[in-house]
Amino acid sequence: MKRKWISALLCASMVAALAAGCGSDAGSGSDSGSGESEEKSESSDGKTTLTFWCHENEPWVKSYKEMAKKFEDANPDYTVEVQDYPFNVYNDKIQTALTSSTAGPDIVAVWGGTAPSFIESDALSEVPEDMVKELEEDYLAPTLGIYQKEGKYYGVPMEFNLEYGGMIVNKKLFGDTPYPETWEDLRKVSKEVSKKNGDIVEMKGFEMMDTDSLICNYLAMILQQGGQYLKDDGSIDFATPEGIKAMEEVLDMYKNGECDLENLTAGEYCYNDVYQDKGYMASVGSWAIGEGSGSYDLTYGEDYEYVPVPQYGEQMAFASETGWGIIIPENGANKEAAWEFVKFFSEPENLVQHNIACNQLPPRKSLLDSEEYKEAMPNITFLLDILPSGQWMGPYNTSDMREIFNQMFIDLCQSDSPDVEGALKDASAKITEGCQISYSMD
Amino acid sequence: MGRKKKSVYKKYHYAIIVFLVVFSVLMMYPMIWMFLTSFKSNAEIRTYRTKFLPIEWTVEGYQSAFERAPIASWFVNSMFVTICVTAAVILTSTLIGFVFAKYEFRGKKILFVLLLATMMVPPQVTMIPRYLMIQKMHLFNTRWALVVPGLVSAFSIYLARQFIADIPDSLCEAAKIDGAGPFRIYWHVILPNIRPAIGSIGIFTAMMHWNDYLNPLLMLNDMEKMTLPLGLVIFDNQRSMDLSATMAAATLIMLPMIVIFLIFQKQFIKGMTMSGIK
Amino acid sequence: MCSLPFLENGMKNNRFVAIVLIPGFLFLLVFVVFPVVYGLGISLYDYNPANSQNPFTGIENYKRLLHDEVFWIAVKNTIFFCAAAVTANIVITLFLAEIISILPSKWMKTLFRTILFIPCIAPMVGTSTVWKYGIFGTDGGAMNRIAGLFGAAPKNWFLTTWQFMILIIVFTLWADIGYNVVLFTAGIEGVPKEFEEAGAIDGAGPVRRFLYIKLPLMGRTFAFVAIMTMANYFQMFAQFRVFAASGGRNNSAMVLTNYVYKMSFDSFDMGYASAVAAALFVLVFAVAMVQNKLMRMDWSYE
Repeated sequence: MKRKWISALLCASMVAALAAGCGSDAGSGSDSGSGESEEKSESSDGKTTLTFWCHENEPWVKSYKEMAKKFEDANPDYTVEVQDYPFNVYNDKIQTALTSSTAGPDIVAVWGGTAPSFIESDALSEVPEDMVKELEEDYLAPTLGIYQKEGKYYGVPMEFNLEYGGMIVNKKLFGDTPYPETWEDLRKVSKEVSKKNGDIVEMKGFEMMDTDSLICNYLAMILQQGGQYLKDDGSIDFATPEGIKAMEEVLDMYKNGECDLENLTAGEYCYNDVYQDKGYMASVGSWAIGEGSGSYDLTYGEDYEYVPVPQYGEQMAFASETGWGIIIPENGANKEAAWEFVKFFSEPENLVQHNIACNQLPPRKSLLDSEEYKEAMPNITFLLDILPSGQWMGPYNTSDMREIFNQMFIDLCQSDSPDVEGALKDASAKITEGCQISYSMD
Repeated sequence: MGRKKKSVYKKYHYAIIVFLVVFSVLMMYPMIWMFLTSFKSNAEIRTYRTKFLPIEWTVEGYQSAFERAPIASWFVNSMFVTICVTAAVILTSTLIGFVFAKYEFRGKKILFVLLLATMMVPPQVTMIPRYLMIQKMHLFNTRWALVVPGLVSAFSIYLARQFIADIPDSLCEAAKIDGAGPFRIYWHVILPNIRPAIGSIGIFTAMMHWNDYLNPLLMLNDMEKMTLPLGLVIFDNQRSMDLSATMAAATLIMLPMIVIFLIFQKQFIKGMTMSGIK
Repeated sequence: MCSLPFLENGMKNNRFVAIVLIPGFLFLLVFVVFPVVYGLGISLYDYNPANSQNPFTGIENYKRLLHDEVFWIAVKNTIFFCAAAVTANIVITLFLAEIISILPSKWMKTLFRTILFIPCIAPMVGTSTVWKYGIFGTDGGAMNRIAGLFGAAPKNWFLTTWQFMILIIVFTLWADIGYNVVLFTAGIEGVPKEFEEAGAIDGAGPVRRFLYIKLPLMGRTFAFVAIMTMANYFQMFAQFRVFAASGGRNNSAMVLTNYVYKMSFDSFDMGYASAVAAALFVLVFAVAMVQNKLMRMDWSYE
């Protein structure tokens, strides 16, 4: 009886393996149902509707909608419908849209860190030639990196993503004390003010230990010493003298009780501590400025400010990953119109307004000295000056890379006699092997 | 009998009661904490970490939860899925259970074993194919994606069969001699005799689908289309610094079921019990 | 599997049987049996539904399993979680059921059973979210507060390894014991009191009476509870997703269900994820077989 069962199961599984094989070759492609999606593109009034997908974020969605409105005014034949989704399901959502033929979007806003998995499938439309020229001439290198595949481009950046360079400071806690301007100052203040209790640092000094900031600050510290973590063959090596020195410095902050690991384990951002009067300084991208007044009812200039993080090494340098950009699915019914929209979006005078509305940094070189931008964003103009010193983080899936890096860091923090060099070597090998994106840039 | 029993255990009674009271308080603590936290403001949660009761009761958390999340649609979705599936499962399991309990046919044994075997398959084993199938069926991201795969439940069939087997064959025979067809027997003889079983299957199925997290997680994407458990997780991930609102949302999600349970507590426990001894 | 003597007699009406069973079984075939087989099929491919090409790789995914450190950690954790949690669950619920059953009055029995049952009513994702902040939370969680009363410094529990797994087990027990307590109380009440009396007269203490008289007499309930709890615990997913979506420190809280999910829906490596799912299936099947042997479970016992 039992034997019969097992053999029946085996037989069935073989049959299914064959069936699945046939199915997966034929049915899974993005080409299977473009016919269906064509139907929905014409709405009743003869206008063509473009669907724009983005993630849920109040000011961002508002800005996208304004951009859509402007585009509609300039192109009366089109309507653009903006749909937003919670960030945690957003990537799955895109993935399924690219997979299936139903209800697909025409235009998709995408986070550079997760873009590789879409770009490596061949479900995306290539950037038209006239735009390629602009991309190559006017966009800063880190913003483009991930969108390049075999010499072609599959996405257009909307922003320069910078998680290094600025920090939120708690003005009330600082009182009359001036903000630190050198790295030594920063560490001194940080050591003096911090207060530790078990695994919690009740008052934090300088914080950078969260998913976003930790690796960005660490990489900047390597580069600022004149070091490099990206080798010529594309592999990663943190275990250089500069890399070890930087890691020891970061570990020292933890061992001194200047900050704790709670944000890393809970997946929170450090700046929340500063807004809650539980920390003096937290390194974070400029986007967090809005949170202070938005979520915490604080006033900029009174309760908190955003100032430069003192440089660690001799020269200004940092690494940055590709930020938010736009992709166009290959199975969309209105690809040409979609690219028209992207072109419209990317025009400097439009883009700058979007960047201002979303607290973003501009990706285009021509916007670095935009008076409009500087006037609207006086608190972060200091970041514009450092943008040209940034390099691209590298051809890696940065979310996976962070996971490995942060794990290693936590282990180092928890160990009584940490083997920094060994851990860095291990992590470098793991990241090189496991997180490199599967396509090459050229 | 009760008197005799007392004589065996009397000396332990007080110790047992004290122990159970302490234990119950511990069991209740997380729920009470959730409830109380939902009435604190975030500022209070941050400043007075160690206070148990709210200093100032406020519904800020509830307001923010309602503003930031479509809790009402989550509730409607959960209701819809739970009711559809429960009704369908009661029907299919009693019918199939009836056939297995009262009819004789070739291949009965092997089919029954097959049925029992399907109970052992963890949903995570089949989730990738089911996800792909639901997409191909164009049910993805609709409420039907949760309803359709749940229409037949092996466990409920098994339960129904156990109950129906207890109905004396003579009842069926008598009905048959009176000229009743199988559907009539099912309707007039079987169903009225297994009301407790229906309650038991209903409660079991409803709870399972009301609380399900995996399937909604796989099959739904739109905020509006989500069910309560999935919605809560998304809400928590998005607004984790807003503990007051998260706990308000959690309270709103758990409260209806707990209230229903407390009202029908006897029937619930009875139904659960029967699922176990049958 | 087991003998099924009850299936021998009954009415005959093949048409009715066919009308009912064919759609029913077709349904189970489509949504349970076919997916198992389909999954095995996918596991032989390098499968990502967004790709236009999904090459056949044969047993490559299974070979990868053998060398995948995280997979073996997940296997180990899954087995540990199930063994520890099921054992603890049964011991605790038997104990609770027994002491509840000897309470003097009916309303007390009902009261305590009801209280113990409340966590079972709530969705596990909900209760785990509550525990994440209210019990385990580093700053202000109940555990650190109690530890604080004894002068201990607050601990970040999410940084621990095996301790964290134990905490997840504690949570699971909290969330789930009510159900088994109800079942066992019913089982114990089904045991005729005379047997106990006899034991008491022979001078057996309460523990001995419970182990040697009551327990064997409620074998059927016991077997049902053991098998269902085990099957149920292999499927536990929500709390792992809430407490440690990416597996916790050094994957110490990574279990197979979460690993399958992570591989398929975070990494979209569905071919490999299907291989992991197949391994989970084999594991569950093997445990069910062993259990069946041990319990000599007779499903037909009336």
